[in-house]
Amino acid sequence: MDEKRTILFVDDESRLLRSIERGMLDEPYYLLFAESGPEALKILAENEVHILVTDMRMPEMTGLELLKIVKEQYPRVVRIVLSGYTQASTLLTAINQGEIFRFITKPWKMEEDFKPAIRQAIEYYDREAQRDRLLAESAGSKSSP
Amino acid sequence: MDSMDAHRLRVLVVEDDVIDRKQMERLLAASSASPYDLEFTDRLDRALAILAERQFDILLLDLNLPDSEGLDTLSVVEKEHPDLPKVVVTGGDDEHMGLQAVTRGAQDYLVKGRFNARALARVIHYSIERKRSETLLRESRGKLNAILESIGDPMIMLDKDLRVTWSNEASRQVFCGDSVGRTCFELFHGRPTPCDLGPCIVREAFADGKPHSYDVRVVDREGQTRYFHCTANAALRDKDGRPSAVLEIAKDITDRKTAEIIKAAYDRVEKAHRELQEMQSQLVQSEKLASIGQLAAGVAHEMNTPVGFVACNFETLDGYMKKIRGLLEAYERLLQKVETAGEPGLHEAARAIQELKARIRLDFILQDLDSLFEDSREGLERVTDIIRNLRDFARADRAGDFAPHDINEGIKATLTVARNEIKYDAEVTTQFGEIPPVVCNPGQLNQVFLNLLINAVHAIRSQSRPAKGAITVRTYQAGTDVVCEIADDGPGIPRDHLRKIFDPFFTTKPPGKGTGLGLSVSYDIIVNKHHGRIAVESEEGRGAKFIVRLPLTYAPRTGESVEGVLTGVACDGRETDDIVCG
Repeated sequence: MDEKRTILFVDDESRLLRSIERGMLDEPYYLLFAESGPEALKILAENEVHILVTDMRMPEMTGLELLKIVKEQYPRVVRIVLSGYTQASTLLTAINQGEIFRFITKPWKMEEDFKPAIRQAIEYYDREAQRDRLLAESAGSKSSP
Repeated sequence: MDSMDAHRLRVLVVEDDVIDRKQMERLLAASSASPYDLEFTDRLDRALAILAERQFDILLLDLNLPDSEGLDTLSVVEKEHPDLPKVVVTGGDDEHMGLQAVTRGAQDYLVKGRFNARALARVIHYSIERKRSETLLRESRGKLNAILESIGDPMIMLDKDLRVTWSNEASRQVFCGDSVGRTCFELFHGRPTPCDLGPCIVREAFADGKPHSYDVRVVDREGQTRYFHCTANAALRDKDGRPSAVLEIAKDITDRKTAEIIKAAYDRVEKAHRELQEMQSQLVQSEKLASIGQLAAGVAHEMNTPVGFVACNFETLDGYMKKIRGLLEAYERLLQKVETAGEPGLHEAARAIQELKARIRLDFILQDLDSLFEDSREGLERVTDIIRNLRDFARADRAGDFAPHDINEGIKATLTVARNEIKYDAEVTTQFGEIPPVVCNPGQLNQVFLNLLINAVHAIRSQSRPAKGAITVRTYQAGTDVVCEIADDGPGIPRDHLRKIFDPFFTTKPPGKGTGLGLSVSYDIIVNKHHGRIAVESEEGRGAKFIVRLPLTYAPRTGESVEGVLTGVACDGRETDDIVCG
């Protein structure tokens, strides 16, 4: 699993995206950025993305809507929310409808919260991928004579 | 007997026996005391005819006549001429009939052959006089009765067995028709035996001979509800002075009572109206608090993103600076080598750099960078903290949900919000105990804490003292309650205010400075919405301590929401000062 993973960040505030870009400069990931839900979907269609980090409140398409589409179309993409909304109702819908992996609140701490969350998400992705591969292999070995 | 002296007595003698008539005539003539005008007749029908035509002073009546026998003879005359004095004349063998006649309207009787002229004269005169007395008595009794009957207030007379011996017209009209002979407990209370419940004014009057009264509601014979003020008083007494009859007078006070009832109803309506007004004010007040919370939450959310990327950039910048500093150190080493190498061109360049370093005070900058970053990081952390607390403070405002909540966190959030109001006047000491989460509406509870904190600091500020005051916030668990105490060392609350401080609109602040709703809203939130308790301990001059107790056992019904009621209520959030009261 030494290949580089790709993370897509979605937020309607470009300055926020740039701050993330700077903060993640030394991290061993490919970073992609989108300023809206539709733009994110376009990027997802053209690139292999492993981790999605999205804001909740955005014009055009809300984070929840994006999460639901991604869950549907790219179920293996590990989904993380980065939002200032900590109301129980917001959290619950994100968890229940978006099946998110982590919820990071704004403002966040890069070293303490953010990077560990990304790392864990990638570990999760890799574990899932490995499990799928093993399942496929065992299924393949069974089917072989 | 002046009236009799004025004229000759007119005597009608009804006697069918000629001998007896002659005898009577002789005896009357012999009586010289008064002269008589005598008239004789032998039959009852003729006597009646004569009486119908002319006036007589007395009638001497033989009971046994050709057309009438015995006492019936008297009855016929008595019926038609009740005011005429009558003396019956009987035979010697039926003297008992004379006695009976006296009980039936005759004034006296004579037995044939057993009276002389003097006795006859005396019987005549006494009979006339007796009749006159009887008439007078009857008239005065009638007059008295008429007076009593005409009195509009129902009256009944009761004997010792509580039986009605007399009643007036008003009583018959209002209560029960003719009630004489019946008992009051049967008449008025429908009981077979005397009332054993409560006091009875009639029995009391019999017992002590003094008047007793009470008010009673009666449905009269026409089905109308009427009110009476009944007074029972001893009317008659026996020879020992003990009451033998009690008169009960019922004064109709329906108008007064009706007025009282209308007044009471009016008072109730007015009270309800006042309560509604208070409730509305509280709703507006709650709404105001809610909108402050929402505003706080909105501001917090707006700040999340910019503060988010500033903090993130800052962290990166810190990293950048470390890298740049490393690079600078490398340059520094190079610079020293260049200076010692002694090559003229490079030497000059090195000196220019050294001059620049001195001018911009690079040593200081590099030295100061650490504390600059440290201070800025601290500032950003504080802003982050404020945002988080604002968010926590306002959290449940919109939802109005009950959820398990850490009261200590709520108080911390509230202290952040109130910090600016408090920091110049008081130092806050917190003693947070180990307490389990309480199922509550955190937004509402925070409003209560905010009210209490702001009240405390305002109380301290009112003293204009040179040094800061002290506010102590303490939380702990006591049995099945979580307790929060907020104490100040301000002026305290006067004893006569202690009872009123939770009343709506009670305030000691000048007009426009407080609505007097803060504590009543707090009371409502703690007591009504959270089934907790709120109390105050204070001594004038020694500060005040508010104690909020929240039960751990209280589980509100699902969907219990206060804010739901407020949806759509217009509000203005202009006067933030309104959230507190004195």
